[in-house]
Amino acid sequence: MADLETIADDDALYRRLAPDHINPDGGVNSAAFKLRGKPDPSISVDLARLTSPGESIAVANRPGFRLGLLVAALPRSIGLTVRHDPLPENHAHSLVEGENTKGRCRELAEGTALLDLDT
Amino acid sequence: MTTHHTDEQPLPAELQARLDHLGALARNWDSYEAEPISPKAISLARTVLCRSIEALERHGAQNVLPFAIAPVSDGGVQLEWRSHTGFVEIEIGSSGALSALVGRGVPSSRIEEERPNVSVADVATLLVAIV
Repeated sequence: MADLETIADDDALYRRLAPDHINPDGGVNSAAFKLRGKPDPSISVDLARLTSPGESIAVANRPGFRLGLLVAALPRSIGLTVRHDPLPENHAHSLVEGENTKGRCRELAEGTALLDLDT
Repeated sequence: MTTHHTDEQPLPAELQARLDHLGALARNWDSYEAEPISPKAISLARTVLCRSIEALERHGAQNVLPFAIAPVSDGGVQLEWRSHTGFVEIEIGSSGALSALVGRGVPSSRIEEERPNVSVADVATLLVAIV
């Protein structure tokens, strides 16, 4: 079993974002945190210090995708948990879990910054 | 090909183009195994947009377009309007079910309310209240 990392409040998390989940003003749409039409109770993210932006976004393997960056304190501040959940193919994989709501999806979206991968 | 209902006015070109784009998304468009956007959701989104524009115009609000039109991973569509007094987020499920999240007030003191079942007419009423 892979070693589990403790995720601190100031740890950065990456969330892969489809181009259609970027709002016209450059912000993140709350639909990016929904699964099968419902607020996602188990949101996949990558623990930034265990990966790189390039590696994290490579899974999408197509143009136009972006990486969103949020700190672990944000989901925790709205009642969600964050834990390391390594996968065989992705040691950085982590989960934001809990009773998610549309309002929380919105708060997660508003607190997610787009990472500029060109710099 | 896009189906237009004869009892609805044409959508502004940018909105129709956005719906056409969403309707053409292939499975896994989000890289998290999302479904293609259902024709039913696209059709209902068009109806909601037409009726909302009509309702807003009747209340003197011209050229009020949604802030965002986004796909949802189950094959649905999410519409969002924003104003300085709040926002309305409408989710259209792949089967055509409508639900809403309404926020009133500035972000620091915003009051949010989820409405699990709303009608097309309800959407227009919610929009008129925040614009």
